[in-house]
Amino acid sequence: MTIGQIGRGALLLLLAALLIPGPAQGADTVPLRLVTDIAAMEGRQAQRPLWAPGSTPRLVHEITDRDRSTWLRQLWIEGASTFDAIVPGSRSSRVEALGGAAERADTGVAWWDEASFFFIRAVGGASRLFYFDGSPREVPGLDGRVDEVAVDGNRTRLFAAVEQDGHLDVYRMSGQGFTSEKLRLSHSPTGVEHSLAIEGKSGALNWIAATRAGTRLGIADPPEPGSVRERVKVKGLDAYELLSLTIVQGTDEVLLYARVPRSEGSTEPERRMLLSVVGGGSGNGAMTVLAGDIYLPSGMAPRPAVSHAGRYVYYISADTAAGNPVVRLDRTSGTKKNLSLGTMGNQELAVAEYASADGSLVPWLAVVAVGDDKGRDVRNHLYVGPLAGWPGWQEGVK
Amino acid sequence: MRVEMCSFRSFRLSGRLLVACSLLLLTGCPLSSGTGTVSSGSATADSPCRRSLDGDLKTARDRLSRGHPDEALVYVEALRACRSVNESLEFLELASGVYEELGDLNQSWWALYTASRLNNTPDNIARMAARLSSFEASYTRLVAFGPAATPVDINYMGAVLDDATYAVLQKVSANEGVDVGAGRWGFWLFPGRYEIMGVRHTLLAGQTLDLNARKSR
Repeated sequence: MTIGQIGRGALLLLLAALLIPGPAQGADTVPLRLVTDIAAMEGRQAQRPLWAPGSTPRLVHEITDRDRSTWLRQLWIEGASTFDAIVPGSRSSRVEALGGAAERADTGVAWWDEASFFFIRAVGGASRLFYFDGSPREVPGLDGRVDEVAVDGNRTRLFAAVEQDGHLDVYRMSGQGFTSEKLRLSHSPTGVEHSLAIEGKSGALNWIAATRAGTRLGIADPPEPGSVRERVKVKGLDAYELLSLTIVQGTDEVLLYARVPRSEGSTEPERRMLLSVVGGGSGNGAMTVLAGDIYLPSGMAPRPAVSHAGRYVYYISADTAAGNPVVRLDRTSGTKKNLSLGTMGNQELAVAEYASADGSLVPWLAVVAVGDDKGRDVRNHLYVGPLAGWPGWQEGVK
Repeated sequence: MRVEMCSFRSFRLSGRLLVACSLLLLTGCPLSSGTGTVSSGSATADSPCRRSLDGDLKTARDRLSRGHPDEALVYVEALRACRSVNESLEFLELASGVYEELGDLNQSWWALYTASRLNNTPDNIARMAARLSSFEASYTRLVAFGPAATPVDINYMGAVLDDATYAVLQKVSANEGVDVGAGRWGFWLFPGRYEIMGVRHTLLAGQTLDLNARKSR
């Protein structure tokens, strides 16, 4: 990593600290609201919140059943009110009324714009790509089983991890119906690519590939076959098993959740870490450990959460005695603060920023925690709320 | 007449559909005059009204339940050639399901709406009312200017234009509307983003957009 890259990264953080107002000091309790006390959640659990881009706080989260059926629910906030809609399993009202489409697994949401998104629908062993803007529309002509999808910053291309003929690779798709121009980017015969993420300005595509020999970070910058590097070499990174990644937009930094591999038979508790890799795309990457006490839910790891151009990083601390508190790390000062949320058993979180009425950017937090606000059950519920002032929100919070 | 039986609206002509159509042509109209026969005073030997209503409904229902609405459509369209089937609740309910599965929302609505206005038992009336409510809650009603007016200019503005949405837009462009309830004329659309007469709309399920109300402002 060059001195120039270090200096540029530090300058960006400093500028963020100076220009972007931080969360209000002294407002210790975050006014979260339980948003999953609805009939559709009866006997089910919430997971995987994902905030939308744009001007209105809006997110999609998954609702899972014991039989592993997964539905998608869209939630948006206007003033003090929340509105929601569940993505139907079928466009046919008749099939919906008969419950014929209830058994499905809708996952892998990738927002297209502020009010529509792509998602993966798995039914009966098939896994297909859909688009939702009020009605689920299948992307036609896509061969293979789609595992994951990401959208580029210009909203002209899709990037998808597609399994075909026993191989899973990353494809770039564009053109008529997104399938007339399909280009394979990754070529690893045994790697399983996931955690696709795109830098909005440069269009660089990052991913994690899991192989028999371990995990590695891949990149295509620009996202062309000739620019693909299946393995980004960063000193120290091979010591970890990479789980998920987030790009700090506007920079060449990625944040990664990772696991420290244990020896077979080891009785050491499993450790999960939050890592930063800067400059990986240039070939002179440097890695830093940001936190070593991360809690992650079972299954696919959620993405690391950031705000204020990467100044603040949010994670859940593996401190069961304290109910797995949500921690905010201020990277300019190095201080860590437990956010007072009023929730217990936090499982995963997501953060995004929206402009308030006065034009200031306000981070919104979505956190999956155990139990509802009345202690009636022990299922995973979803809580959302702003981390700074939001006109009208406080009045609606119970 | 026999050619008309095979003149159906469909988005794909599958191999099975060709076989079904061929069978209808080869075997001709069933001449059974049992209790399930669609009959009318002017029925002739070759009339579609001589078809076995029970038999064709059973076959169509079977095809639909097996996920082959295009095959079920062949029987629905064959029966529909006899106007008296419009008084059969069973036929209309099945036809609505077939059209809906094929994405022909206007025809699906027509069948349900017609069924809801038949004289029938209270239970059936309640069931049809519930089906209508469910339909209205799932799709978007576009009230247009009338069958003699200039077709509405409409474009889909979402990221994925699928066949069913395209077919619906074709109907709007061709001004092939229906009575969408309460004497209004228009179309049923899949919820989504559209540009209608130069104005962008995000049409939600259950929403009604009345172009006449906008025009009168």
